[in-house]
Formats: sequence, C-alpha cells, structure tokens
Amino acid sequence: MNRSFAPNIININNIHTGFPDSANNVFRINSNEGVFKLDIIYPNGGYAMLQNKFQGIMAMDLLLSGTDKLTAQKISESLDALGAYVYKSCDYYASSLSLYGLIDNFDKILKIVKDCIEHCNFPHEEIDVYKNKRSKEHQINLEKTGYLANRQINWMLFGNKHPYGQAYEKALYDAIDQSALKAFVSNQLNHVLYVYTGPESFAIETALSDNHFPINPLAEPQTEEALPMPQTHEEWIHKTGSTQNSLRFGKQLPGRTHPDYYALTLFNLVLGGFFGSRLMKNIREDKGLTYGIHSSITPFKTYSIFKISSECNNSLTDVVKTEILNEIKALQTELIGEDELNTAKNYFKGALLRNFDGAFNIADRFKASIESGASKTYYEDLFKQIDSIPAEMVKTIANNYFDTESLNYCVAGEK
Amino acid sequence: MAYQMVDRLDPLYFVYDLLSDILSGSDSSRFNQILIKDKQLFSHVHAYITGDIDKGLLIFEGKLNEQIEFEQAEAAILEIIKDIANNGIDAIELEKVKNKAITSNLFAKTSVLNKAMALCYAHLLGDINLINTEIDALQSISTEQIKALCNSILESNAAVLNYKQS
Repeated sequence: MNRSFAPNIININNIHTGFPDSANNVFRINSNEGVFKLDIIYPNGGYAMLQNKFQGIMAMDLLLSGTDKLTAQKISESLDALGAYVYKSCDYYASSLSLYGLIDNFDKILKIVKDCIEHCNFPHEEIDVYKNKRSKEHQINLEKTGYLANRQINWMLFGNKHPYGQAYEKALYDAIDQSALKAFVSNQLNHVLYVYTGPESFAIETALSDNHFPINPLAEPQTEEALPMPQTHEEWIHKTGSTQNSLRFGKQLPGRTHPDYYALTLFNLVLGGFFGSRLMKNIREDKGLTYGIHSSITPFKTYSIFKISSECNNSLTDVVKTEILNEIKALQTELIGEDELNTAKNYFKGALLRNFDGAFNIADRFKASIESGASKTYYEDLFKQIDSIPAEMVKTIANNYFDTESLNYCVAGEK
Repeated sequence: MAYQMVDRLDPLYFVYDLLSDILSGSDSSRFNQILIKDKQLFSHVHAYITGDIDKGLLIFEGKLNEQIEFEQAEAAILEIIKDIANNGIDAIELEKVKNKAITSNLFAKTSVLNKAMALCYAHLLGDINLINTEIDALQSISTEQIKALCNSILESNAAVLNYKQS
C-alpha cells in the first residue's frame, strides 16, 4: 500500500435508512447478534403538552423506583442479574423506555419491567431523595454561566408558557406529589408503540402479548404543540466573580417541512455546525478567543430553533460578539467557495451515514423520527437534497433568515 | 489504591475485569452497597482496570465523606476483598457480572465501525480470532478464580495515594 497518496474520495449519492413498516404498533429491525433492544414508546407521554413538564420527567425518572412488593434496590438487582440495561426518558414529544439485554433473557426482563410500570407506587422516600438531588444540582448549576445563559436564551425564545422556556423552580417540583406521578402514568402512558431490534427468529409479537403489552393498530400521533412566545431581545445575566462569560444567540426558523429547511441546515453547518465551520476556524483556531463555539438547529414539528453558543473570557465578550456577527455578514455578502461547500456537504453526509451504522443505530434514528413526526423519507430526502444546494443558495438563506438585528442575544457572566 | 495486574493476553485478564465489575459495576455491586449505602464512608467509589495491552493496574478510587479517615476507608475496602478471599462469591453474583459483560461485549459489535475496530484490535493483539473467543473466555471464569485472585491481591502491595485538602 502506497501511503503517500490520499485515498480516492467516493461520493455517496443516497442512503437507504432501513426504516421498517408495520401494520400495527410493533416495528421490527432485524439484527442477529444475540442481543436485543426494545424501545417502548409512549407518544402521549411527551412533556410538550404538560402544564408542568417536571411531572413527566420525574415520573419517568422514578418509574422503576418501587412497587408494593419490590424496592428500587431489588428492582435494580434483578435487572442487573439478567445483564439488562434499562433507560427511561421523558422527552419533548414522547416518553420511552429502552431495554437492552441478551435475547435469551427477553421474557424475564420484560416481566420485571411490566410489573414495575403496572404497579409503580412512587415511594415517598424515593420522591424526597429525587427532589433533594435535583435541588442540589440546581444550586450547582446556578454557579455556571453556561447554565444561566441557556436558561435565559430559552426563556427569551420560548417564554415560560412553553416547556422549553421552563427551567428548574423549586415550586414546580414541590407541586408534584405521588398522586401527580401516578396520574402521569395512567393518563399519558396509555398509548404505546414498540421498536424491537434483535434476532429475526424471535417472535416479538407473541412475547409482547404474553406479557400483556397491548398490540393495536397504529394510531395517528397528536400534532398539536405549544408555540414559542418570544420575550425580550437582549439580556445580560450578571454573575459576579465569574472569569468566563457565556454568550448565546437564538432565533426561530421554519420547520422540517419548509422548502428552505435543507438549505438552512447547510447554512448552519457552514457557519458553526462542525469543527471545520467558520465560527470554529475564525474565532477559536485563528484568533484564540474561545475554546469552543458552535451553532445548531433543533427541529420541532412546525418550526425549528437556531442557536449559537460560546464561552469566552469576560473582557473579550464584545469582541466575540462582533466576530460572530461578522461571520454571518460575510456569508450574506460573499459566495462560499466550492471547496468549503463540498467539505461541509461531505462532513454532513459522513456524519449522517454514521448515524445509520448497524441495526441499533438505525433503531435510534427510527425512534427519534417517529417521535418527532418526521416524514418517513426525511433522512433520505435530506441526504439527496443537501448535495444539490449551490453556493448562491447559502448566501440567499443568510440574507433571508439571518438579519443580525433579528437575533436574540444574551450573555451570562461579569460585564 | 493501585495494584499491578496482568497483560491483556493473560488468562487472568478477564478475571480482573469481572472482579472490578463485582466490586463496582452497578448499583447492586459490593462497593456501592457496603461503602456508600451501608457504611457511608464514600460519596463515590470505583474499582476499575486500566485495560492495556501491556501489564496494567487494578485501581480502587474513591472520594471520602466528611469526617472519614483514610485508614478507616482503606480498611473497609480491604475488608471487602478479604471477605471474597475467605468466603468466595455466589454463583449468581458472578452470573450477574458475566451477563452484563457479555451484553456489552455483544452490543459493542453491532455496528460496522465497531466491528472493524474490534477486528483491528484483535489483530494487533496477535490473534484475530480473539474476537470470536472472548465471550467463551468470559463464560469460563469460575467463582474459585475470583476467590483466588482476591487472595493474591491481599498478598501483593498496593501503591496508595491519599489526597487531602490543605
């Protein structure tokens, strides 16, 4: 092998996601490795529609914390004994449990989990320990400018009626008691679907119904969602004694179904979406003003949220702010070069491909896509579309969506 | 507290690996149960191996709760090793860590990238077939081997470092 030549770059033009179809609420992705993953997804369990999002978050965190017969300790011991891993989460659009284990132990693991969900009684001691832990974490978080800036920009972009604008408040936690947690389980975890990843020979539907997990026709997901209520435009959160300031910019953008969405994704990538992006190259690599800087787009069902975040030395805050805005202005006035554009596109496609490496990664993407209501061909379309976006389009997007005056801006730290 | 341990190709390697899991692999492991929950000596305490190709280290590492003396904390750790050295462990306790180790070993090979990495690593170790035999090696470890290992740990010297607030 002659290592003095770089290998040829082979352009990949499309991907096949391997997303499964199903007539009912059981989806299966085959993987013959002797291990399985079962995602139990509750599409009504997301915190998007909760008055107090911590009700859902706490209920899911404490879902395996005890039944009338079993303590949290006993439950974790019995799952450990089977070599099983169980992750629980309450996300924006859905709640879910993900079970990992050896396929030979499927039934035993599922039985324990079923019993825990069905008879979960949320012991008072566990609730107290949990609240206490969150309160301590919050005290620590308040010392971090990064946390303060995130909390502030979220409030500025979403308002506190929106779950994303809601941050830790003692009163919100205190309002949740055992009955609220039980109510969440009976009201929000009433509709379920499954993504099974594991051996092809395994009869998943039989195993689920034997353990009294309902198998139903697939129901339409609910599409209603809270909309952001933007608040103030610019804020300084004073944190005396901090040597580092945290900067955040933010803005609401159209959602996944908008024709400009793919180009917005590419614009974000070029600006600050990966290590070779403009913000990283100029503000970190060239000028050494920050250790890390990046931008992101978070898609919701009907809109998306753009953010830029960075940390820097107090005295450099205004310099970093100006440099960030200069980078946006540069993309508004000058065409991006073909090399840079192709690097960004190739990075993007490579990162996307890595997301589909193996059945279990495919299952993670599939789960995320059904939870967020993305179209079935979203990733395939994205992969194809990204390639065909010309440099002119990136410039148009920069001008149409990123008027620097329209960005919300906040800093946490010392002036 | 650091003890010297065998290299990656030594048959005892996975015995060390499983012992570290028995001590601190999960909520129900011995360190968590005895040192954190029952005796409340530590806020965090872990046992882990450095996992190198060459000879490595078995390390016990913990943060002491306030008012706890180093001697007391060290003695409590050694007490746990002594207990296993004298009384051994139940088959079920070993089964538990084996199941966990096998599950994560299999999961680590479910993507193309990780399969390639595992193959390269096995090749680097000198035997590409190790990728196929690792699970059997884990499976074949006995409670007696865990007990014997704890005896040999008690006979060897640890390098102990204590960090104290000045």
